[in-house]
Amino acid sequence: MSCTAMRKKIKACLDGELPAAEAAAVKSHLAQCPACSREAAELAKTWELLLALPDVQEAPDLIPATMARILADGENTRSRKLLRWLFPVPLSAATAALVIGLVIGIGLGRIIASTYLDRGETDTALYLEVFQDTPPQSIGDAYIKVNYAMEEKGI
Amino acid sequence: MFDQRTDFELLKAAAGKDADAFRLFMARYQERVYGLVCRFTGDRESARDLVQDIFLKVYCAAGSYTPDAGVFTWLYRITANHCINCMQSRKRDPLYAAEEDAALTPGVLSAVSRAATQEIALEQQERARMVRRALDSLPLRQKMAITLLRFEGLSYKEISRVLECSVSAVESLVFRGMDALKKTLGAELEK
Repeated sequence: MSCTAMRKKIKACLDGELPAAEAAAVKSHLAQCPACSREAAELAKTWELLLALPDVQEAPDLIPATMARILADGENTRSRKLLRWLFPVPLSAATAALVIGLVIGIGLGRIIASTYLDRGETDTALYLEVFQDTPPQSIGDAYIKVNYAMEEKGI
Repeated sequence: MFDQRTDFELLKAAAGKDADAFRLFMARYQERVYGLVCRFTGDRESARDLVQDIFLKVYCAAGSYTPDAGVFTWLYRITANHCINCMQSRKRDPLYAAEEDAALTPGVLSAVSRAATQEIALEQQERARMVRRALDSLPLRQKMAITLLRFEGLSYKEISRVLECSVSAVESLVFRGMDALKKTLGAELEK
């Protein structure tokens, strides 16, 4: 095994995590290779250095605070359930219903509008007569009608 | 009176919303979970919040626990995942990154002050800071693997169950982590 491959095994060997045969191979290599042996010594020293971190002090009693949060979480869940009971249709579904309603409404509105549009155009055409030279029921209109009537009677 | 119920029984009861059973379960394990979180974060204040979050998750997941996985493995898996996820999001938060160095283990380091002389205490404190910085510079899974191995005394096989990976992956995490620590702490190793 090469030094590079061997170095990957040194830590596991120091931790007693290698099978006996593999551990024996690593140990035998360390005995022969000064570079890997130095590497093993440095790893061991680094491992020891980690103990420079001080002991963790006694844990504070976190039970009351955690139980309070669990209780609050339960209350929130109950509130959510109550909301769901009061409003069985979720908000997103209500929004979707509103959008669908709008689309249908606009569509229907157009159909209705187009149905009445013809009549609206007719009405507009009729009302435009008001702007003729002799609008209906005006003096001019009455004069023309009288003339027509006299012509028909041969007066 | 001492409750003789097993961890599985307590968790089963907790899943049925038995708060007392969960209180008892937490009393059994909060010390160890707190220890691991403190070691991993190096910050007592964060550890308090994180331990509460973790036990809240444990309470919610109590029903999913099966005794075929050891309770420690299960508990440590929740703890490790939560710690790694939290630290990942903190690393992305620039505000936290600025505060991190200032908040470096003041509570944890107070134990050092018990050293015989002030000079030795200061030296130890400085060394502890250096080791903490070196550990914090590791990728989170490497840091967790080394913390579980060095401070919790777990075997590679147990770590593989906690981190949900193979034993050879743990071997690799530990090797790469130790290699990085060796380089970072090189000057300190010369002494």
